[in-house]
Amino acid sequence: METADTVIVGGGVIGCATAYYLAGRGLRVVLCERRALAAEASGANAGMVGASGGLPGRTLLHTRKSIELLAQAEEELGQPIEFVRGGRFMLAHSPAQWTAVQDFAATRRREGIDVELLSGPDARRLEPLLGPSVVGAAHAPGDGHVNPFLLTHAYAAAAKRHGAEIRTGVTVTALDMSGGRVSGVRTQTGGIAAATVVLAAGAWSAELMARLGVSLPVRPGRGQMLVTDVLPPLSRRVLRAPALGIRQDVRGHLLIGSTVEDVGFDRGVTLPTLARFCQVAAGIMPVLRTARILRAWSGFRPMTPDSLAIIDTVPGATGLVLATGHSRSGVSYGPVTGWLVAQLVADGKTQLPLTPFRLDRFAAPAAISAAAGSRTGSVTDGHTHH
Amino acid sequence: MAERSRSVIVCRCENVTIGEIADVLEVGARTFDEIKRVTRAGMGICQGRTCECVVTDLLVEDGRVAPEEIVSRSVRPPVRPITLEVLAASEPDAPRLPDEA
Amino acid sequence: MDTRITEHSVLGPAPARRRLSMRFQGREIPAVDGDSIASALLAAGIRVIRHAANGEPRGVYCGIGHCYECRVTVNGVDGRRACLVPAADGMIVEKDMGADRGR
Repeated sequence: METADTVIVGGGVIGCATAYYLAGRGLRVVLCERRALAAEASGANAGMVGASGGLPGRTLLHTRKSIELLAQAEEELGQPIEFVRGGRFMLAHSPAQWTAVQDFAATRRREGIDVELLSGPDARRLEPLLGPSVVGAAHAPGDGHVNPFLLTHAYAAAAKRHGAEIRTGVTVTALDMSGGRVSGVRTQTGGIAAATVVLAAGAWSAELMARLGVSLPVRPGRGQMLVTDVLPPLSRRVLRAPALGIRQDVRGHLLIGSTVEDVGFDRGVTLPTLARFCQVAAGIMPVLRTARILRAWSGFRPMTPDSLAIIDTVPGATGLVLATGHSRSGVSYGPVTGWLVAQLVADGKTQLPLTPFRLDRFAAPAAISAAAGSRTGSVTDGHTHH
Repeated sequence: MAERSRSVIVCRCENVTIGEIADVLEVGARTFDEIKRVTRAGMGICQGRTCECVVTDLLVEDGRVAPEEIVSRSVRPPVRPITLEVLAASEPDAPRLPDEA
Repeated sequence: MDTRITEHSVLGPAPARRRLSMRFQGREIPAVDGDSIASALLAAGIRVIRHAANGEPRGVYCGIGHCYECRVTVNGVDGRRACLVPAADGMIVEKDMGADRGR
């Protein structure tokens, strides 16, 4: 059987960023992706990133680190990733939304994230194309957007340059366990023995964990999205209203979305949703009315009950690291996740606390059952906290 | 790959050349969608109608992918470009999105 | 300069068709009833219909409404395919402004 230091399951932005950072630490990494890199959530999103998107009191530290890492990534990875740090507007179109936006600004500023409040007229001075119904906005100048396909591929390519193997079309069918330790993975083409397995399979992580008798609280949350034909430069900013996000890529296409729907793995798009996107978008930026829509699609975000990722080891499964459940923010947290997981695997500790991402924060703590493989004893066996 | 100029355009909509596609084939892309994600071939206004057959030809050439293993490009609505206002007007009673206040 | 075939070795003489007139980029283009915008432009020797993002001149390519290479703005409406839209008297055709607006 072939061997590696670490097998990474999943070739999205989380898996590839992890491969990059781990390979950079000199570990022999094999990444297994069942379809193609960025084929799922990492390839279906609008690429919005930023420190302001974290959770106050919990993860603003992490989102801030993540965008710093992203800002260095283009040069480090040596490939274009189309990172535009043009800032983000959180738009309010009603008094209730304005209250929420004010709270957004206050909570971020409290933790040192630069966010300013703008009145409707001031917002429109900075963004003249905003519609007349805008009441105000929170402006986070340090946020931005990136091309998630290019970012994922750039991490993978850089990982390969550091000796990692990136395998697509390879499905991990099971995690191998022996005596309370992970011993590798099983794929349709054979097994790979490894002391560490990182599970970064997004909405499919729960499936693999279920085979170990662990109920992972990660469910697919379908998100629909539209893309328009190329338009002249309208804005470098990410424009977010509570229900919709809009951003323009470097070629001029606008990405408009999204939803979070509990429909299992149904890859369809629905006309009422898409129509509503268009209605709301036209309110946010009226010039978009004549924009031509080229494509609508959907993707499956790995949703957790609190929309925060699970980055943690697993009781009763030494060597297994979860890096999944990034909900709506996988691209934003991707860089810092890879950075932290590499530290967890290589050093046994991390430079930022993983407390917000612990598996045991959920009501029913997961544990490896006896049926899943041999187990040496208690629920906390082999589990280190960070 | 047969002798030809790398600068020949394969995807007219996004101006993607043979050379760019050859480069991603070299690193293991085996389907149209994979090539699309990295090169943008197929992301333009015709959504891959015109370039799919040429890309498929490049995939099959040199035995990279057997003809029977070719996976068609993923096709999504709309069938042809439609303006936001027309799509918006098609469902005037569309329910509000969950996060709309 | 009209490149139309008026006498075909197999099909014989071209049937008489009502003449029309349309404009492309301000220039008067003679057309006949039954022309598409594309055929009228080609008959008038106009092959460059727009310019791509990389500056290349582009025109009719597939001719069957697939490729959108021949897209033009017709009477103010963007994204019309010249190969499919019938020429009409007084029609105002311009370079497609939907995507290229502002370039």
